[in-house]
Amino acid sequence: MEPLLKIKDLHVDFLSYAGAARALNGIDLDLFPGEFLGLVGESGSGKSLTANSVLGLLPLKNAAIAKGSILFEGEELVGKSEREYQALRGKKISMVFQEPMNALNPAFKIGSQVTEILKLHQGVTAKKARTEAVSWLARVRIPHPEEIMNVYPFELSGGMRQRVLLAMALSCGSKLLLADEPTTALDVSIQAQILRLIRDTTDSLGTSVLLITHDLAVVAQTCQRVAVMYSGNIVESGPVRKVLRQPRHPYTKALLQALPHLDGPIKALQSIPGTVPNLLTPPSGCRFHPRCSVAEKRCQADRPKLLSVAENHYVACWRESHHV
Amino acid sequence: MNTSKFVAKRLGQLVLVLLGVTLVTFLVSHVVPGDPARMLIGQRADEQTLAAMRHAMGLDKPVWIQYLNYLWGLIHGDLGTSIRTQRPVLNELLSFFPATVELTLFAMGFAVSIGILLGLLSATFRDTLTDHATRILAILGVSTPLFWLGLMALLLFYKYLGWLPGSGRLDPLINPPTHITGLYVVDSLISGDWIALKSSILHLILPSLCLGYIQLATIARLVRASMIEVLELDYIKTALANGIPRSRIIYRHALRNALIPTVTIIGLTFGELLGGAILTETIFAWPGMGKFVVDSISFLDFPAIMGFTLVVATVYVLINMVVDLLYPILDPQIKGVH
Ligand SMILES: Nc1ncnc2c1ncn2[C@@H]1O[C@H](COP(=O)(O)OP(=O)(O)O)[C@@H](O)[C@H]1O
Ligand SMILES: [Mg+2]
Repeated sequence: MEPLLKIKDLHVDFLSYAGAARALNGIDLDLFPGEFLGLVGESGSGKSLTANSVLGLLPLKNAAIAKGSILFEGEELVGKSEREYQALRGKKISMVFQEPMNALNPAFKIGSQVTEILKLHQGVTAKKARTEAVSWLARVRIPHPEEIMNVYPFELSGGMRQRVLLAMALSCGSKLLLADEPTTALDVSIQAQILRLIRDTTDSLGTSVLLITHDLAVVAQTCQRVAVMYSGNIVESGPVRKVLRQPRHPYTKALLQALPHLDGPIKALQSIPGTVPNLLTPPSGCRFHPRCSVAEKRCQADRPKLLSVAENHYVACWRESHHV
Repeated sequence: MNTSKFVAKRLGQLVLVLLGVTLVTFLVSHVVPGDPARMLIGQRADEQTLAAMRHAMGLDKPVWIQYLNYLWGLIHGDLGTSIRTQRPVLNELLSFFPATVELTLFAMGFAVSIGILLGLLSATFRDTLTDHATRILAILGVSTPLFWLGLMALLLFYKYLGWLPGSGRLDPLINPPTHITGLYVVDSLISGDWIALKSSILHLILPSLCLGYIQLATIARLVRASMIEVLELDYIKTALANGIPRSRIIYRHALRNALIPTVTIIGLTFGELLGGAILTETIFAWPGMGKFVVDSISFLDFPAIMGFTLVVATVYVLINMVVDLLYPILDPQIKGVH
């Protein structure tokens, strides 16, 4: 099957007075139609950056794609104009963010914000947009959708706002949803509800999802496949079961060891000595080698490629490369 | 709290403000050296005439009695009699009021519309030539004294270029339009008097541009700052991620929110414009309240000065009440908070 989204060797640089920081250091990632893929990693590993690159939402001033390609439905996205991206955003590829509290415009009613997108992408009349908006609100299980159309965002809870944002994201038939830590800012009691909602609605629509999270438990519950990021690289990817039960990369192993019951978010990894590398002066070779307990000479010299170690299971580690 | 309650409360506050204003102006005007009775009868009159005059004007009574007398008059709509013109102050102010209002409104309209536009431009094209140019324009606006600006404008556009008239509200050869509101532009529009309309607009340009320039600069910088702040917020990113065009994000999603702090400033600005009108009217021989009060000051015409101060304070409070009423329309979260 052809992937819906194919990211190849993606490099993203941040430019500052101190120099260029390579924040994404050659990402390879495939996402197939209808798939629910988890992207995990510590804070600062480049998860949001990966998603923002897909939608062309990098900060224009200081970030740039240095090289690599992003294919969506076989079409190259890197180098598209702002106008071309606009036609894509919200219509073919959508995104929901971490902070639902501030993600809706405080000056406009919910109805006007949902219908605006419908009118924009589908060219429907105001009346048609309104009925569609109500049915989308109902679809994300918002009680009394008719009334909710006429309230302002500040009158809604965080969970309700995230539902509205999800309805907006899906309302124009996007094939791909980029969900960047959609439940992190929510009450623990609401998190599971929203995750289930995302899974159920995208399931019934056939929308593929890239779920960004730093919570392995979330991955275990919702995703089919998972990719693990470390400092701008994908270090391991594969079916959730395999990766969580038989991790092959030392970083994934350490992550799982740090987390006895798979039910807490990834904190700073105290169990692994050292810290996340400074991107201005990243370690040579494999960026994980200074913290790796099994590092060898060549780990300092060269960066390992992401290679298949078993069916659908990929690892970027010199110690695993003999499998190929 | 509902709107009518809010208005009632504000009007109550207005009474208190006016009481304070009268007290302060009354005290100040009775502390400054100078004797209005002497001004009126002239330096050569003898002591007896002066005493009689002081008695006639009520100046021989204790200050607090004078104050109470003044308040008593105020309650009955009597602002006293102008010492200089010997006509009721209220009538004088009413006859000069429309000219000042017209000037202030034009200055305001100019400052608000161009100010918002410039602020938007420099926020959108941040750190480009457009932005730097507006910044320079704004800094000049904040730092140029009004009288200097007015004189330079007069020199350039009136004296040397001869493009615009430099004094008064109308060509001396043109009859004023039928008196309806007292605003020449409005009156000539209503009565279809195109000659008066053209002339009155031409006469408004220089004084209102000079008067509004400082406020324009303030508004432009404020709009720029709050636009830049708003454009960084999460909901702007949501709008972008949903494919809404950047231009629409700026003028619809961001501007609406960026205008909230601006509206407050616009309310405060109006008071400053009324104050600035005094100077502007003097420079451009604009027959408004400002010119009236300047003439009164040089004559120690206290009732006229106090009347003017009261009018300015009242307008100021009323404008800010309107601004507060506008708030909930712009910012739904304020609804019911007042
Ligand atoms: N606006 C920015 N300016 C400079 N560097 C940034 C910016 N945003 C992100 N980065 C860099 O990119 C790296 C990855 O960021 P991000 O994708 O947000 O991480 P994650 O989502 O995994 O927590 C960060 O470590 C940071 O150094
Ligand atoms: Mg992130």
